[in-house]
Amino acid sequence: MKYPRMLPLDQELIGYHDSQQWPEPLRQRIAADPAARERWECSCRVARLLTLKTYERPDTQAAARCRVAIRAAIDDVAASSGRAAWAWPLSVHLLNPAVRYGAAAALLVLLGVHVTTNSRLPAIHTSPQTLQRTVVATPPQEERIAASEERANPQMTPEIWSNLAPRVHQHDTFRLIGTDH
Amino acid sequence: MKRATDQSNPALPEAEDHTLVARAQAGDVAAYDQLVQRHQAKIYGLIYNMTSNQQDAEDLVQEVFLKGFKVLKHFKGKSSFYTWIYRIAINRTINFIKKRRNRSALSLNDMDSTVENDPAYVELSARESPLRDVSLAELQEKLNNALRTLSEKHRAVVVLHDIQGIPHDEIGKMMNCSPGTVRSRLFYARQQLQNELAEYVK
Repeated sequence: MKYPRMLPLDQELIGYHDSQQWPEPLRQRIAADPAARERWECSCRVARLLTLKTYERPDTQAAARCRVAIRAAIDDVAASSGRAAWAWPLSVHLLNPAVRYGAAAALLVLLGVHVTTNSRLPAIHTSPQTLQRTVVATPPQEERIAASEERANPQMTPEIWSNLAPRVHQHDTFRLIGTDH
Repeated sequence: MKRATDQSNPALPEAEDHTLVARAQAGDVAAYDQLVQRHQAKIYGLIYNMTSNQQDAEDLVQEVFLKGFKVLKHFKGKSSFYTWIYRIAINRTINFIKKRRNRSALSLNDMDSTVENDPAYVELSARESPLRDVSLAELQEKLNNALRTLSEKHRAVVVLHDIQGIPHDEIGKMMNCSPGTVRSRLFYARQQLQNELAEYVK
């Protein structure tokens, strides 16, 4: 359906509620234009009728029900996103450009340090010479087992025996003397 | 024009909203809960009057506040929280109506019996008209059906201004348009409603 075009006077009138006083110039213009006044009054009747809708009331439990559901949904979101209490202030502060640029600069420095360190470490760990040195320096497994067994049960050599012999004789002498007494 | 129960301007102190928003942004869920409590009725009224369906309104209110919680960190306080949350509610409801195209049936809240003392209702009942014995339920249904004939944006403007009593410039901020556009939409919406509700207004 085609409606009449909105005229400047209509535009001016629609800014007023029907209880408001019009300024004198506007009052004079409306007095000279009965059609505009009729449109305005009809429009006000519609608006008045619509205010009856403010008497529609939700049931008494609706607000509480809604609020509980909202709180539950918010708790779910907070839990599922794993947002800690500090995460929000952090993200809010990051909205500040100075903080944002500072954070970006710090990140770049950290990246630089990381790249420099990484570029050195692989040379130590993976050079073929190093690997060769490591292989040569490591004794075969049998030798290592034998060495550890030897440390646990050393073979009796003449040198060891000569070191131990006087102590054994002394011990025996004491025991013999004690027996005599 | 007398507004029976104006839920839109309950003069909630904005400063308190500001404090609550700051606390909520710092991770205080209880502060956001208080914001919900303060604005829930107005948001419900807006959505209910736009959808004319109780269940849809309840679901959308939850969606709106959940969305608000998720994006609260982006709220910089250039407008009031009230305007900001209204903007989310309007956009969400307009999208919902576009998708549904009013396929959901009317599901209306009960009318408060004090409506019978309202001057608009008294005037309507007293008028010499064959329809003056119209029942309240029938009138309510006709009003809601008439609103449903409007486009989403026209409906939003009518609900915000004529039912919730929000000024044009505030509606302009909420709907991201000029006050002139708001007035124009209001004018055409009322013209269409005049035709839909001719039996009551002529």
